[in-house]
Amino acid sequence: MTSTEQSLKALEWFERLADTPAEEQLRHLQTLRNVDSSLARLVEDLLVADGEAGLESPLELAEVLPIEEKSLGPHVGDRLGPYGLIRLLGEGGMGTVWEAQRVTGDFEQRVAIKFLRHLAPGSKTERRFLLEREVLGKLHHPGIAQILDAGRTPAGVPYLVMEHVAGEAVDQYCKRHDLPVPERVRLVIKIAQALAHAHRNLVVHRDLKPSNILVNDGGEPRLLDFGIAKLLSDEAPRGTMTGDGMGPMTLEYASPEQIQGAPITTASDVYSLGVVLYQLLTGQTPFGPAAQTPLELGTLVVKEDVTPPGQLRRALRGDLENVVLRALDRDPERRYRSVDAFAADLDRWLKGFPVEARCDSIAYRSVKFVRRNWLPVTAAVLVVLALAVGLGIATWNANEARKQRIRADDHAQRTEMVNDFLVNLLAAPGGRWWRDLENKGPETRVIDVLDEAAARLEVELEGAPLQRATLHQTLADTYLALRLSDRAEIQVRRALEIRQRELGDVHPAIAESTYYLAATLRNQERYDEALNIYQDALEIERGLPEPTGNFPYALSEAATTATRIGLHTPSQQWIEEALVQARLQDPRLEGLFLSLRALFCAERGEMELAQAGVLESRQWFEATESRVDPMLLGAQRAWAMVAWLGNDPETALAPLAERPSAGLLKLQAQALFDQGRWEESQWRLRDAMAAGPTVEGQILQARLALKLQDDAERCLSLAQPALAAEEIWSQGPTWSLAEARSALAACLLARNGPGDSARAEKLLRSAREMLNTLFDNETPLHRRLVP
Amino acid sequence: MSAQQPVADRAFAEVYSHLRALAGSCLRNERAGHTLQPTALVHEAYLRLQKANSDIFKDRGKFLAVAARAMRQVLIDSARKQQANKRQHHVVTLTENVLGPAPQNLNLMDLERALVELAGIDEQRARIVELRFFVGLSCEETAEVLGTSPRTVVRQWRSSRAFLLHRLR
Repeated sequence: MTSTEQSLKALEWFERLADTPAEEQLRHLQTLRNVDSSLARLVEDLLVADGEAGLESPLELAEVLPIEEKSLGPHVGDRLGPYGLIRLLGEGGMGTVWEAQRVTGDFEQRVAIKFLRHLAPGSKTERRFLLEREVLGKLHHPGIAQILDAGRTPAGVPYLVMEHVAGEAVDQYCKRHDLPVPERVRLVIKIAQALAHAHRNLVVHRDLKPSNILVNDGGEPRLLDFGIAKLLSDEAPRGTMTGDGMGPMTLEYASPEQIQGAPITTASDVYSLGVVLYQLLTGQTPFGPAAQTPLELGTLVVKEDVTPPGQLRRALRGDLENVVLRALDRDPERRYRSVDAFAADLDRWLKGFPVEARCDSIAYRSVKFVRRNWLPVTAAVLVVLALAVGLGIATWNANEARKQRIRADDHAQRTEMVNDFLVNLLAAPGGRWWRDLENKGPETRVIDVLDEAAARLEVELEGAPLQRATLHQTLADTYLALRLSDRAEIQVRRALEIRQRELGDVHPAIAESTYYLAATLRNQERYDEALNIYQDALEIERGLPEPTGNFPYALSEAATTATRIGLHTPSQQWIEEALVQARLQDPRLEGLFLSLRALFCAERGEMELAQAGVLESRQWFEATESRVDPMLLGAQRAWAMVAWLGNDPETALAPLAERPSAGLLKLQAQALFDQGRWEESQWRLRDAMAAGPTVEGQILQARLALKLQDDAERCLSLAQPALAAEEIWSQGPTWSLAEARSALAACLLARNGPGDSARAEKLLRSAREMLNTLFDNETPLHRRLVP
Repeated sequence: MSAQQPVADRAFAEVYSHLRALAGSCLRNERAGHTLQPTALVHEAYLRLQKANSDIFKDRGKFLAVAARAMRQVLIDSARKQQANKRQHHVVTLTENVLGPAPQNLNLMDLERALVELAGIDEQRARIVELRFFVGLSCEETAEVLGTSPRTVVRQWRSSRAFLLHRLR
């Protein structure tokens, strides 16, 4: 068969199928495809083209023949009422658009004037034009390009005077400014607000797409082109406006019901806005890339569920994805009931609240919970760990962590892999594995999910040991963040084992695992072991051609651990080295490490050095105006510690942070205690302990039990184990050991049982000696020695 | 039959020159709000030629068949001219937005190419397009000129239109 014959056959097939329902067409096409796929393709092309606009009515000569411009068009300098034409902005099939300026009156106003040409009375074009005029006349909103005036030129050409919107299409704008996701979401909220105004005035836009949403230099979006809008109050124009279901809408943004020619409601605009959001987040429309032809596109929109944005960009997984999917539900009834509701949910997402759109399944709850706790683990884990127990920034609020991106790069890849693992393997609903979890019902806890993940990991990824090691490592992070150190240890040891087998002894990944193992041990208060492992980790680091990003943190953690057990000399060396490494690696780290150094000085009693260090680091933060939360929180904790030990409770209590860390809260509790403000002290300590219990905290609890409840027994029950722990760890003088002895002494004196007083005296004496060894000046701790 | 072939036909030449003159003068005097449909031109040309007493134009059907081809040629010639003087258009984002879709924004040269291709596949369908689109005849009138049934014209016009639209995309 020649191609001419085939084309004729295609025309004939088309003629047979053209009037049959779409379903039947598809069935026939499928049959034909099995017989002769290229013929089927030709027929499909024709069927698709049949739905398109054009060539319906006899040609209008004026649309194709050259026009003597003088006879019709407006010209630069023409006056139209109070407006003077400045320049032609563009022209198209319907007419021309001019930029104009108000030439009378006191104020300067730029406008856009849209002229129609060749207006056959009653033509589709005219009806659309008049409708736009009517629609826009009803709407007054900063997010909607305003109609200012309308009329006819002396020659009878109708025109619309509209607010001149200088800007670019919202997708271009986002791309050019490389806007982060929250900013994109904010833009969509603004668009939704404008759209809500239209809906309140019973106008549905029906052709929302990026090119109809212009964003000006100030970042404010404006909706344009209500040319195919529909007035909900008036059913009459509906049929006439778009002729049939397939109006001049843009398929990629059209809702399923729009494509099917079903009644259009505000839910269609919710859908289209959802598509715009989808595109702004993922860079593509939901079905655009998958469809080869408009027919395919239409079929996909009507029949298929949207690919979740998170499958395109993993960072989008979670609530934001749920919001998008809710807006893009094929069933209008299941979408947001209004654009307002859509905007409100986006706003909730921005503020970190749970969204309305989340699906309420166990899978969702658990994964959501994991992810909430995941951020500190993946993005901020190194900072967290570095500063964790010893320095007091023990927990991280997800919002704070979300803001911190310093080390996010290192971990982006891991986060992705882990999310993959968790989401694909764990969250896949319906799997046998999940059913086991579901049987436990709402009692399912994160820890169960993680335990299952750990078990699963043992049988997964047989052939990809390094990937598995990474996942073991990350599970360890998560357990650590949840204070499940024993579990974390198992995971990190698995990771280390695999990596040593695969990579040898000296490798950045080995350094990392070793360092995490140390952190795990330290979290379990196994300081001696931890210190040994830290030393191993540092040694591996030094053997590497280039130190890893962990190195400064590893050094400062080693220093913290050493200080914790009273080994001040190595601690001092390591923190100096940490500062040097931090400066080498990332100038943004300097302020934090300066303040950490000051803190170490204070803890070993060198108060003058410490105060100078605080000053230096404060100046650094002021000079750089650094507002990176974790850095600043770490520094503030250090400043407060120095202030407290330096008898400066005012500074220690200064409301330093909007969201004080657990460490800072604990310090403030100490300072309040010293001022006799016990109630406040207890209140703060409770918050601090909830975020991260420590032995120092427990000692303070013991003191407060005595002061507030006069409860010597309770005081003892808290102080005794605390002191025991401190005694076990300590290999040199530390203020917390001195304080533990002194607190227990206070309890004993209060109880005043047989022998208590003598024991208390002994404890007090040793505490005083230790404090004197540590500090040259008197500290609040010294004053606590006096019963 | 292609409109690009040299046409020796006297009738064609006559109709062609009339139509071109008419189209030109109509456009120069174009007033806003006045539609310029080819039907009107062809009708006008018919009246003039009748007055000039040309024998061949006694048969209205025959005249229309010729007029359709002539009209097509007039349009193509003017489109060529237009294309030759055409200045580069700037694409202004606002234009698209404010003007909205312009489905009738037709490139006649492309249409001509597609129509030649269609004629290669099936002559009758190309004639239907000429009569329907360039002269603005109804399906009944077209059927009369071509000596076929209106139903066939309806069917074939639809497939031809789809064919052209697909090629024009």
